[in-house]
Amino acid sequence: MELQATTQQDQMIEKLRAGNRKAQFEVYQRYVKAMLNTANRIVNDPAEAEDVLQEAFVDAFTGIHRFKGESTFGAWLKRIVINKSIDALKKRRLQLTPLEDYHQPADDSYEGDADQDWTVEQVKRGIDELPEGFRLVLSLFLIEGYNHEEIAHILDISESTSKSQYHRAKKKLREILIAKAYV
Amino acid sequence: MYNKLEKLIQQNRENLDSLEPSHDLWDKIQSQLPNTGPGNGPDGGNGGQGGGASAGAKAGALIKWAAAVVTAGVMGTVAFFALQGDKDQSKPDTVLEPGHELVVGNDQNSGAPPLLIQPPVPEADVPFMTFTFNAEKGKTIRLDNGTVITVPPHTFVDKMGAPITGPVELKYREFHDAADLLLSGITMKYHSGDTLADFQTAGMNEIRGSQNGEEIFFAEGKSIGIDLASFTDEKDHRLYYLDEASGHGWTDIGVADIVPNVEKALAKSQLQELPAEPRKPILKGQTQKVLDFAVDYEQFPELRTYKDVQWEYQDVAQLEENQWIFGEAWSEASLKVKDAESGLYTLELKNKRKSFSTPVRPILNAEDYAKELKKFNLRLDAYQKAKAARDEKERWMAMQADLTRHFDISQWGGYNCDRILTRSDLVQPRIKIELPSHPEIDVKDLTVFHFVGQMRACLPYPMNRTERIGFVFNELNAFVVVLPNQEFAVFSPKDFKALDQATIRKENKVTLALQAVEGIHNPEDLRIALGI
Repeated sequence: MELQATTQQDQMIEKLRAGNRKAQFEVYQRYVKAMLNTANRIVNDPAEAEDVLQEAFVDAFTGIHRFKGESTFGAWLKRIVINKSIDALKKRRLQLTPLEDYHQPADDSYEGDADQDWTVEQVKRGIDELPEGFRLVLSLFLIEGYNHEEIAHILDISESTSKSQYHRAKKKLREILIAKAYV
Repeated sequence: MYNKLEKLIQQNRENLDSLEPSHDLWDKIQSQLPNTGPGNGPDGGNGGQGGGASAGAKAGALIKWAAAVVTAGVMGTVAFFALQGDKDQSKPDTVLEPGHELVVGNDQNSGAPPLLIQPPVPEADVPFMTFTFNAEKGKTIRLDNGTVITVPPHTFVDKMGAPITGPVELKYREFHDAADLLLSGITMKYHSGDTLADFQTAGMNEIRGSQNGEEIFFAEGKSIGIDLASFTDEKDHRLYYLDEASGHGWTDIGVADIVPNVEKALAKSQLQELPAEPRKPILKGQTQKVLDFAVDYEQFPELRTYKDVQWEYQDVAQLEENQWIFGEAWSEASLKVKDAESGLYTLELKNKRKSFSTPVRPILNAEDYAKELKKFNLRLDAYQKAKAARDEKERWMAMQADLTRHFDISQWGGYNCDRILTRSDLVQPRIKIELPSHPEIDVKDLTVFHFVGQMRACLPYPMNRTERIGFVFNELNAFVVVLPNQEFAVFSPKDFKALDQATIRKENKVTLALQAVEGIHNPEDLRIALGI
């Protein structure tokens, strides 16, 4: 029931605001795995993903006053994780795939039902092999569920760039899957 | 349109999450969190995944904080997040509401120490008192509130270390309540190690010395004695020095000795009863109906003026209707004061069968009047002098604190007898600030100052980062904002008391409509506006 869920979230937030350690641990348990994988999809380094997560949880718990209730707590936390993951990428001085270079009409030649029957594991390994920029946009759109407007805001790029980058990423993923004979 | 690949990924989001967190990740996170929540002791609420970091907490440290330093633009801010009492459940939970931030200074990138005293409205700042005296002689300065500043002879040297002679100037001011704290803009945050807290003051001062505009310094081994008036007898306050040079803020330098204000106690014990105000004699008229009877002057000392007094009936109509009283033999007559201001008494007559009471007023025969009037004037003059002296004494006693806090200083600056603010039974509703008289002002641009802790603490909340403010309903709460035009808007303790607590608790939100007030030129004006 939505009302009940909202009430439960409010109660949980109240406890977090009071610095209640049990509540913090419950939140950690609830979100840690999903957030760790989200971070890892961006930084592509499990150790660094844990560092990101460490910072993100501390930031979320100590900065809980910044949570305005305009989204779910999970969505707010995920945004912190993603922002910190992107910051980590920047600090690592890895060159993100120059997004603007891909600002061109999308090639939809692979759209439709032409895909093979990939397994989840195959797709996961394929995503891991994507270039940083591709992996970033594809993960944010397809896995994390952000739309292109939101991705544009997160990555500070235009919406159309996000769209074209996504299509390129998808195309690249197929190429990887085929090339690696993940069929 | 989604193709198979997209659908596969979207429908198997959770299956893509194959990475597991390492076992010590929570410990790493927990070690960076403030160990302040209820039950957050060394083993508090961590689900068995290792201990916390508070085992080494100092005895007596009521509150432990973690600070996150946030750099926002050119302003350095220290964000305060959550604060709770330690694990001992017998102690009250203490929560400092989130969003409560301290602007600690100016450009943090400039290398200059942050400003720790920034009056929001300079014209309404707490004024300094100035004292000039000869440096060779020293000076004992006594303030009306009981503060005593003792400057021994030969206390000062110049910047080269040479003894100072001749007149020196001492500037001094004190801060005793939230109005002083707000208008002086002096920081009330304490940050030391992992302790970050609000102060509740028991008295604070700022003292500066100069000669011809040049700062003077303390000679080796010399100090000034301060007996700082304190209006609370709470004993758990410590003494802090405001380290402006480094920008560190308040530094714990020990404890001030609590000293009873002996002079006030002595004055109180010596305060004598004021004699009764003498009553001016009234000349007996030709047509007045009067009654003669003896007066016990011990019982009615104000009637000493009325030797050979007679009593004028005041309710003639009543007498005309009750002529029978003149034929009655009364066995008992007594007087009671009816209206001291107008000199009216009630005469009560009784015998075994009947009783009668009527208002009367003392009057004199013409032959006695002139003589008694002269006596009255002498008595009145003596009375008025005694009353003026007593009023002055009472006024002085009212200003004097019952105790002072003694400490010696050997450097100029701010000194603070404070303790860390703790509050129990805190509720934290969402807060909405309204300014009915200034709807054009965006409250997000304002800082709300919350007066709490028996009006001896002032918590600033920048509204662009504040969603909730913590209340303790059964204590005094007041709110003040400084408007862009340098005027003020207030929400008084009386306004707060009128809030519907039950609704606020139920809805977990509260709207405070602050009323703009003009003419706030000093802390006393603000106290009057707030009724505190």
